[in-house]
Amino acid sequence: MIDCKITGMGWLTAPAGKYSVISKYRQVSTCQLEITIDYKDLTSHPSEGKYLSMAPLRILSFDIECAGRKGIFPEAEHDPVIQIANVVSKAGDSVPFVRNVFTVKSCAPIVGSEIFSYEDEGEMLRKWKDFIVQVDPDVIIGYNIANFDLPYLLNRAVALGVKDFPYFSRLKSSKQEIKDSVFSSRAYGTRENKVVNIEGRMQLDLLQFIQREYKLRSYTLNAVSSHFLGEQKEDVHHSIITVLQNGDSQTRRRLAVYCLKDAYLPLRLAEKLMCLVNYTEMARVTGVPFSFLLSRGQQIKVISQLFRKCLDLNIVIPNLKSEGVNEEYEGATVIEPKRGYYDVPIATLDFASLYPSIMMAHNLCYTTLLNKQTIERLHLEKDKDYTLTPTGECFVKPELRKGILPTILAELLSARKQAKKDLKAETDPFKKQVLNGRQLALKISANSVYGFTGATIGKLPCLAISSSVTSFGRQMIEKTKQTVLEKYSIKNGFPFDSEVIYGDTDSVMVKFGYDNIETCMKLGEEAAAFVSTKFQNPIKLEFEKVYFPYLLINKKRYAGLFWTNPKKFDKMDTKGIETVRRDNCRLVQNVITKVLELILEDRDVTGAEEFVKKTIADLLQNRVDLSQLVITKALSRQDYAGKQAHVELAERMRKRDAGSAPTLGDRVAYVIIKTAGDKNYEKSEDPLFVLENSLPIDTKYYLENQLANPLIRIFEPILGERRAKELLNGSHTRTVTVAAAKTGGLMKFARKANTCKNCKATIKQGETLCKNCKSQSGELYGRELAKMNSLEVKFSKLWTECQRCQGSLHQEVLCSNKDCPIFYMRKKCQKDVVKQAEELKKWDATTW
Amino acid sequence: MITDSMFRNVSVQPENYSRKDDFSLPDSKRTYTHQFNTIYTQRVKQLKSRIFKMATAKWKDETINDIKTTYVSKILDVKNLTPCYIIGTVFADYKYKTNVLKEVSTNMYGVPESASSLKAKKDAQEEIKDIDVLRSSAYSDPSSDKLMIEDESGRILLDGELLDSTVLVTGVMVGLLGMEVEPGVFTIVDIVYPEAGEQVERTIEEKQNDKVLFLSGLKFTYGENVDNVSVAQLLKEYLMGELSFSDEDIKLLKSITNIIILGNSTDVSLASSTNVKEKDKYREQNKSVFDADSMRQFDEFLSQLLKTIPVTILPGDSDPAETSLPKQPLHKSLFMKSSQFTNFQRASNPCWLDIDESRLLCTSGENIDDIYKYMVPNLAVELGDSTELESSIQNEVLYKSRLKLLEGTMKWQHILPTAPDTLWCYPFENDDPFALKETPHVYAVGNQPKFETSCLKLDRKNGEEVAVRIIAVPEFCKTHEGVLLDMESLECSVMKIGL
Ligand code: SF4
Ligand SMILES: [Zn+2]
Ligand SMILES: [Zn+2]
Repeated sequence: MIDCKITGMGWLTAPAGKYSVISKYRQVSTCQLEITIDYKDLTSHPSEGKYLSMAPLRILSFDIECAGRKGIFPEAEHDPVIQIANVVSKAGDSVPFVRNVFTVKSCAPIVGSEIFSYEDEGEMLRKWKDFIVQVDPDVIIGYNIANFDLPYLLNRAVALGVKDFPYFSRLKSSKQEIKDSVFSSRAYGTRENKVVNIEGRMQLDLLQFIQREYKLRSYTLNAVSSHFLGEQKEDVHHSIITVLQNGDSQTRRRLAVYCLKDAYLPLRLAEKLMCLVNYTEMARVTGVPFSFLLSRGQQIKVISQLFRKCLDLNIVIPNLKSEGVNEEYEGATVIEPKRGYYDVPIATLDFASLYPSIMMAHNLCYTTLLNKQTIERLHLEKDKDYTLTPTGECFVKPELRKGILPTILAELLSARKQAKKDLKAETDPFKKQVLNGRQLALKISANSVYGFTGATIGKLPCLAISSSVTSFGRQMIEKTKQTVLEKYSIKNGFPFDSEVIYGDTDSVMVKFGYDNIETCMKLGEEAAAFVSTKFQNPIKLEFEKVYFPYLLINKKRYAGLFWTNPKKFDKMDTKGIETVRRDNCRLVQNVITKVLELILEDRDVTGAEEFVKKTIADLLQNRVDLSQLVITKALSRQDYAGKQAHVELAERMRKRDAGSAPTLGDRVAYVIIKTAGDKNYEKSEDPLFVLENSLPIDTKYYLENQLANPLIRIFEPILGERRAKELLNGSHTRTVTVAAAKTGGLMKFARKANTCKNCKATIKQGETLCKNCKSQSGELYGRELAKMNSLEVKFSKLWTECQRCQGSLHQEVLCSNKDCPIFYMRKKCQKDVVKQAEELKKWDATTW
Repeated sequence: MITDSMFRNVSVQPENYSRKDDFSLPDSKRTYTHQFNTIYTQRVKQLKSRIFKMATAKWKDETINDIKTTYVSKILDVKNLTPCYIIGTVFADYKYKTNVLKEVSTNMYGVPESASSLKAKKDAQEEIKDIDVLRSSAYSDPSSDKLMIEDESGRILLDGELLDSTVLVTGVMVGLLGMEVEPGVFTIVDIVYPEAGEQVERTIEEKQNDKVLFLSGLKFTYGENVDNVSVAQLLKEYLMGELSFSDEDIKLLKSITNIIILGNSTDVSLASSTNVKEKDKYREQNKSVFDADSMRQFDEFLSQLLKTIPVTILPGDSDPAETSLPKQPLHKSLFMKSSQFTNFQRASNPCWLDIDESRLLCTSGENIDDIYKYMVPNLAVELGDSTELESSIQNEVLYKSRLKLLEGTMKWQHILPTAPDTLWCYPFENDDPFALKETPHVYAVGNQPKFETSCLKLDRKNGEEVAVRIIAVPEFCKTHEGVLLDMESLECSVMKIGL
């Protein structure tokens, strides 16, 4: 590819006369046209002008349903595939042009979709394969298809002995097979993946894509669609799937509707997240094939570019064996943060593409690195002929020899500038997406070059370069700080001494002292321009934004309102604050979000404190909804070693009822309850079990292990240590009413006496209030009513919402989506409303 | 002056009648174990066959584009470009319907957010009109509203000009004639409703011009709104003959045999949680909104009336009663004084009454108020300069009259179609009590913005008709009006208390 300058997702021309068409019956593929041509005759077009457009790719999204056995996650050896839903669309179109479902056994029709039913599962698989070959998609997408759906289908076909199944690529003779691949990368960590070869069709697993590109609390399709599309999605547990399948054509239709939804969602997600467009541009920019983008790390992209450049320059790259030396070099500095809550605007000065600019400014490259001998041999002079970096390495000046990396970088950055310019001028929304994808791809590529030189287990590490880059970076940040401090000072006639409160890799945060945003923006611009003059081209300091107010918690942990124009803030920006951590319950996320809103948007610290106290009081008195307290973790094989809350729980649930217990691959939801033991892993319990048996929540755990740290972190810089701690143990925490376990040993002996509803004085059976409280009857009755009403409304709203969510008024709601906030709430509410109805009934008989 | 009940006419009111307990909740334990789909299933059971009767009667020989129409029993089986008629339940997918998912995911306790567009207006110090307040909780956005019809088999989207002149909301069951033109969209040309339930025979004999007085929305409150109380006092004095001097007046007053108060007699929700005690700040979540003083005052007011006139009282949304429908009678002990009288009747809401051999079906208005929200664009929707809406029915409801909504509930033979979708009701298991099994002679709805009335004729399958007197009873505290219904002619007139 490199030799012919062919890039991934680029356009090619096969010049007329240079190729010959292969006749239909001799074709080895199922393509419309098959040709032979000498690869040297191909012309590759750079992605510009009309070659910028995207091919009208045909995208197939599919989802399968399996009928599992009770209590076991479906296994291809035993459990049949019963439905496959497919949605096919052309890239850029908003509506799919094919929607269908393949089912085993009959299925009632669905408006707008075709149904293909077969009595035999093998027959269905075979017909599905035929369908794929016929519809001939260029891209196959889905959710977790790489690790679940595709391997399952293939394995299932083996189990059923459908020998002609695994041939749905574009090469007739190529058999689809499953290989395990381990993917490990510094940026993305290690992942084990299954890979299925489907020649001629690209695969894009949305799950993998989203895991790579976004950090989320949960990656279930439910959670993801609620995050990106703002929709909850009905979830049918795999144990119910079998029941529906064994019903009649109506229940199977129900399943099919559900399966279609699951097939359509990835397509909508892909469109929303523009993954195809962005990855296409990335492939074009870096030259690598599309499939590498998901399956390989950053390095391959840099290597591809390096090879391409070297080809231009006629340089040969040594094929070094990676030695895995683990040398450490000093990373970027951060200016020690002055922690606190800033109620004045904080200007942020950023170096634009810092590391790439450093490499360009100082001509840092493999090909420009000098050693002592060379310098002496060629009588090179410091500063005139070469640069001595702060780490003591020497690089020759660009006048003598221009490095390859700087050249690549310069090209990337100028291409990015161009793309951004075109983007501004472009009006067509689809082309706009493409251009935006391109400029992003260029930016990411430019930044990854530095990482490539520093990747010690990489293909071509050169620590001389990477450590020089970071050392220059450190120097510059320090220098910027000095310059700003010196210039904006009382000494120089300004009303305030400016302060640099924080700085990380490529930015410096300055407090000028003014409380007016506009002034700070002006000063920021000015300072950026001024400091830029002190550095070598193309290094440039830019002023981008002001934070106001700004809460600096620690290194890489802050929150603030983000302003780019003085009239209205753009958004709230937070970093390193627990809103997305996976093992947090929803309560933490909600409390933190609300607190930050109060502090930053409303600038109401007292209000935030009040809110926290109120929440803690509610928590300790069991008024927080259970769904807020649920923690979920996936049950995976590795987990069996250590004693973990969710693993222990799964074990206990299995003993209770093997049928409904979570199995390998399932996500376990649990809450922490009060028990005799004190190990947290013993205290986990199934939320539904907790609701049914009214088990007491360990509210202390939630306060101390979930809420305490993030809250302290936020409030300490504002209130100081003492007052921040008070939030957690002030008087509002002392109204605890201990809910005792109902099944406790002592309970059996306590006789239940009838007590006054108001003051708890003992009264005669059949009465509701004691003599003293009788006079307040009306109010007390009103209070019970109010409670009843809020529960009735909640109950109705929740269950109607589910009715709406599942898209039918007449069908029973089956959903068990544990990620949906409604799921536990509706169960809890049902229980509460029954109880309260009984409370209220007691008043019916009484008169006052 | 009338001081003695002897002088007043007395109506015929049987102790027991067939529909008396139609809206009582089960006496045994309430379980809440049933999902709401059971109500819809019951609705289908009670109404589908009645719609089918009317549909076949009307359409069995109908043709569209020269093709004979046929009945398709499952919505799923509707074939493209084939004229047919179908029967199902309407579902309105409207943008501004209450969305609990949004509420709970942005909010920790699921407390509904207050109407935000109204707040925006307030912040901008714009003038807030009555209609703004009404629109602030409305569901519709004409540009994105979708109406569908569904049965157990599936759903299909509705289209057709007819929709612009027809009131249709979630939960209504209808029969539709039309054809699927675009895939998944059913274009309708005609509509039928269930056959009207039978009407009890009324033997008209001399009724001496007996009259029933409907009141609603007295809204007794203590404190700020003492006005409400003083107007009500005036009303009482008038009714007791204390202000009347002409013979004609006296004659009229003597003819009033019953007072029916259609809810919202008190306004206890006004005294909401503002008076939270500092020390309880972290304790109680559900504040009592009960105001004993206004209750006492109202009791006093009632007991005065009861000396000479029987009074029936329905619980409304602002009374100390459960929110869910059917609302059960107000607690006896709230009326220490009035409860002593035997002519005091605490009824459910909705309720059936039997007076002078006429069947009266009453609600306190929440059913109509909720339907109204489907017909009116939300405040967040810009109405544009010409404030005219495209749909003629929306226009009429928004600017002129609510009668069509009241008439709708009679045509649909269902007085609470939007429950449980947007109105809250008990999850019934074996019945949908709100589907009419009998057509009333009089249908009165309380707490409406103005007095309106009509005489609606409903079809029965053999060409018979039944007539219902429909009355929108205005909110008293705003209009100072009540409605007098003549029990002989079933004509009605306004009674206004002038200040
Ligand atoms: S719990 Fe209800 S609202 Fe949530 S996903 Fe399931 S059906 Fe939808
Ligand atoms: Zn699936
Ligand atoms: Zn007491």
